[in-house]
Amino acid sequence: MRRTVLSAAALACTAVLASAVPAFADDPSPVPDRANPSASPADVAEKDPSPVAAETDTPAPAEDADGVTVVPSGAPDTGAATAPSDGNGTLIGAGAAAALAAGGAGFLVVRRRRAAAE
Amino acid sequence: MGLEIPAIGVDTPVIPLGLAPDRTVEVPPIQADDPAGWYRHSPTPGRKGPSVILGHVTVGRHGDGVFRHLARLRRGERIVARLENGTAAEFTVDSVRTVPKADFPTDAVYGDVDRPELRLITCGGPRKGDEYRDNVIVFATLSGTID
Repeated sequence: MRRTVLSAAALACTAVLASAVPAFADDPSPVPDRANPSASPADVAEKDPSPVAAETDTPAPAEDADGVTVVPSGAPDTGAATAPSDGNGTLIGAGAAAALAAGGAGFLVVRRRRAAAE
Repeated sequence: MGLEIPAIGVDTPVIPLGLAPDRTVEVPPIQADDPAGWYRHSPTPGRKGPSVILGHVTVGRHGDGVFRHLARLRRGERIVARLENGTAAEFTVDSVRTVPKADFPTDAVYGDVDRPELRLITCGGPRKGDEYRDNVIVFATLSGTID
C-alpha cells in the first residue's frame, strides 16, 4: 500500500514537471529580452558602426541650414541634346522593306502559277 | 517635394540631388517625364537662404525636359514648392537670366541671402554639339506660405 502511494506521488510529480516545461518553452515572453540590457541597440551600434557613419566626408544636407553648406563647382549640365539615331529606325525600315519585298515576290509566284494553269 | 509653375505648365515631383564626384552639382536623371531636383545642400524652399532646384531643358531622345520653357517666365509670376510636411512655399519671380556656362554666377546663385529665395536652373542658349552654351537661371523670392 505504501509502495502504491509513493508510486502515485512520484507519477504525479513527473506529470506536473512534464507539463510545466513545455509551457515555458511555448511562451515567447519579452521578459528575457528586457532582462538582457547588454544587447541594447546602442551597444550594437558602437561595436558595428553603420556605413552612413563611415561617410564622415559627406557634409550634412542643408535643409535645416540658413544657406548653402557646400557650394558646387562649375555650371550644371541640365540639357541632354537629342541623341543621334541609334540605328533602330534604320533597322525597322529595312525590316519593313524586306517584308514588302517578300510579299511582292509571293504575289508574283501565285500570279504566274494561275497564268500557267489557264 | 513638388514644384508648380503655372505660367509654363510645370507640375512635377522634386527629387533630392547631391554632389557629383567632380564636385559639380548632380542633375536629375535623363528619362521621359523627368523630375526636377532640389540641391540638398541648399535650404529647403521657404527657409532663409537660396534654395536651388534644377531641371533639364531637353532629355535626349525623350524630347522636352521639365524646364523646357523656363526662359519664358517673367517677373511677378508665381512658383509654388510643395513640401513633404504638407505645407507649401510660394515664390514670386524677380528676374530670369541667361548666362554663359563659362561665366556661371556662383555667388549670385549659391551665396548667402538674408531672406528665403529660390533659384531654378536649366540649360539654354545655342547648342555646341551635344551641349548647351548657356544656363537659364530664375531668381525668385518667398511671397507667402500655404498650410
